[in-house]
Amino acid sequence: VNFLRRAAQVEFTGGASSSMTTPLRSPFRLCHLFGVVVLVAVGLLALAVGTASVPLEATVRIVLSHLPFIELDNDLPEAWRDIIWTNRLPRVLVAGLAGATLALAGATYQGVFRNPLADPYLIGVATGANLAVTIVVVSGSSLSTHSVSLVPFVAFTGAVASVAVVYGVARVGNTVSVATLILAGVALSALSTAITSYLMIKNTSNSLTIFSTVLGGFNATRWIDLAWVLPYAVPAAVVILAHGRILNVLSLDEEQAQYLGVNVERTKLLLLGAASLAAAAAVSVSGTIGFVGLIVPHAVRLAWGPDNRQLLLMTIILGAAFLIGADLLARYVDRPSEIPVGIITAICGVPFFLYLLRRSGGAVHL
Amino acid sequence: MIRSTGKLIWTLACGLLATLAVVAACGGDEADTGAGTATQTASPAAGATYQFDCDGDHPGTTPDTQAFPVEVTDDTGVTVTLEEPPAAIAALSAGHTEMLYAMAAGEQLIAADNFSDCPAAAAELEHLDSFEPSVEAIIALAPDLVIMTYDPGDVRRSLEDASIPVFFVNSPESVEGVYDQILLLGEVTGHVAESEALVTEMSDAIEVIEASLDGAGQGPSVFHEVDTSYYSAGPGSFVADLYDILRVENIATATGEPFPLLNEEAIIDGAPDVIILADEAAGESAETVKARAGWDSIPAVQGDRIYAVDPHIVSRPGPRLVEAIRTLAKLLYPDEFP
Repeated sequence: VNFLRRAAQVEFTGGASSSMTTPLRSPFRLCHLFGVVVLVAVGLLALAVGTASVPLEATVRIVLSHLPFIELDNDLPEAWRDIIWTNRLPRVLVAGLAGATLALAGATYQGVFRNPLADPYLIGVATGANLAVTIVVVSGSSLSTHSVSLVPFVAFTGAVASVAVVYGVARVGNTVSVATLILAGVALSALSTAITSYLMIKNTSNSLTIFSTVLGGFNATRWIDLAWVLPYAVPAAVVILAHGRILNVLSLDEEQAQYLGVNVERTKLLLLGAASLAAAAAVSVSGTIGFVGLIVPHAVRLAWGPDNRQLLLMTIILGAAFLIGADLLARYVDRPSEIPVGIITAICGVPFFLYLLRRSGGAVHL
Repeated sequence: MIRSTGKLIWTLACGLLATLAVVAACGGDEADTGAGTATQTASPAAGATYQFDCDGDHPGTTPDTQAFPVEVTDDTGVTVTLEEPPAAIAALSAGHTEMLYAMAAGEQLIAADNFSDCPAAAAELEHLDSFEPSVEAIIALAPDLVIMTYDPGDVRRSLEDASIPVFFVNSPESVEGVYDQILLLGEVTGHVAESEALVTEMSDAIEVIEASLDGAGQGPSVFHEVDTSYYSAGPGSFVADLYDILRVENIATATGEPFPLLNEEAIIDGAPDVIILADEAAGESAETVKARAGWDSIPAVQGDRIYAVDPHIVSRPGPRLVEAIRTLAKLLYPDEFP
C-alpha cells in the first residue's frame, strides 16, 4: 500500500547504491505479476471493444479459430472475421509492442544519459523518421508496393541515419560524451524539423499524408507491422534487460562503474545502440507518440523504486499496457472517428504523471 | 488506499478529458457561409448541361459601373466599400479563381494562388502562395482587391494597413454556399447579372441530374477516401454535400465531423457499396484497395466498384461542382447514367 512512500524514501546514498548493485536472487517480483495482470486485462478489453460491435462470443471464436489444433465451425460474417483478425488484434499487439519498446528505450536513455528528461526521441529518432517520410511523400514516390506500406521502411531508415549522424558527431576515438550526444541530438532534431516543416508548407497538397504519418497512430496496422518491429525490439530488450545491474551503476557515476570493472564506453554504446534501434523500429510503425517513453519509466520508478533490475521489465509490461489502453481510447471515445493516439497519451498520461510527481513529494530519482 | 485514489483520479481525468474531446468534436461545425441567398427561380431547362471547361476561353465582360460604389459584407462581418469595379484582383484560392472566370470577371484578375490551374488563362496570372501568403509579394503587385480564404496571421491587417482592400470569404462548405459566394463575388466585381445567370445555369444542370435519380430508389452507400490514413469527408464539408445531393449514404456521416479520421473497423463494418478514391496521387487505385488485407468483405471490393476521381474537381468548391456531381452520378448510378 505504501509503495509510493517507500519509493520516495529510497535515496541515492552509498547504502542504497550498494544494495542496487549486489546480485538479486531473481529479477521477478510481485509487481511484475501485478503488471502482467494489468496488461492482460487491458489487452483483452482492447480486443473485445471497438468501433464495430462484434459480440464477445464471436470475437473469442474468431481468435480461437486461428489457433493450431482448434477446429471451429466458423459461420460468422466475413466482415467480423476481418475486423477482429486483420484489424483489431494486430492493432492491439502492435500498440503493445510499440508501447513496451518506447518505454524501455526511454528508461535506458534516462539511465545512460543520467537525465530524467531523456525520452526515446532525444537523439533524433523521431525527427529523422519524420523527415525521411516527408521527403519520400513530397518527391511523389509511391509509399506502398504490392499494397504493403513502405512507410515503416522509410521511417526506420531515416531514424537510424539520424542517430548515426548524432553518434558520429559525438564520438571521439572510442569514447562518446553523453552531453555532446544530447546536444548533437537536439540540434539535428531541430534541423530535421525545420526541413520537414519547410517541405510541408511548400507541398500543401501532401500535408495531410505527412501530418497523419508524423502524428502517428495504429489505424491501418497490419500483422506485417509486427515483423517490422520484432527483429529489433526483441534483441534490444534482451540486451538491455541483461544490463539492469550495470545500468544501475552507470546511472550513478561512470567513474564508479569503471572501478567496478565495467567497460563503460562499450556498454554505453551497446545500450544506446539497442535502445535507439528499438525506438526507431517502434517509431517506424507508430509515428511520433509522445510521453510513453518519459512517463512510464518514471511512473514505475515512483511506484516501485529506481532499481533497473526490476524497473526495466516493469517498464516493458506497463509501457505495453499504457499504449494499448491509450489506443483503445483513441479509437473508441469519438467513434467512428479516430483521435490521434499521441493526444490521448498526453491528456491521460500527463495528469496521472503530475499526480505521481506530487505524491512523491518532489523526490525524483533515476 | 493511495493506489486506489490514484486510479480514481486517473479514471476521472481520462473520463473528463474524453468527454471534452467528444464535445469539442461534435460542436462548432455549424458555420454557415453566409451572406446573400441563391436565387432559384426558373424551372430547369430540359437537358441543361452547364460545364465549366478548363481548356475553354473565358472572355471577360465589362463590369457594370452603374452599381458602384458598392458596399458588401464579407464572411468575417466586415463591410467592404468599393468606389469602382476592381480591375486588379488577387484571388488566393483556386475555387475563387474559377468562380471569377465563370462569371466573366477573369480579365479583372492579376494574380491567383499557386493551385489555380484552371482555366488555362489562369496560367498567365502572377501566382502567390496562399498557405504562407507573402504580404510584400502581394503589395508589390498593387492589387485593388484581395480575395482571401485563409489568413495564417496578420496578412489581412498588413494589407489593409497598405490601403489594399481585402474581401475575406470562407471556403464554401456546400453547393448552396458556392452559389451564395458566386452572387457575392458578382456584387463585388460588378458582374451581378452574369453571376445570377451562372448560378441559374449551375443549379438547372444539377436539377436535371437530380431528376434522373427520382426513379433510382435507395442509392448506394459510399466511402470517400481522402488519404491512406483514412481521412474522409463528413457533414459540413463540401464533398459530403455532393454525396447528399446524390442521395447516397456516406459512411462518414456518423462521425459528425467535416474531415474525420475514420476508424478502419468502421469502414469494414460500414460495408460501403462504392469507394471513391481522392488519393490517386499517393499511388492508390482500385487494385491497391482490393489488395488491402481485411477489405475483402466490403461490397465495393466484391462488386469491383472502386473509382479514383480528380480531387481538384471533386473537392474544389467552384463552378466545376456541376462536373463533380455529374462524374460522381455516373460512378454511383451506372444504370441511370449510362
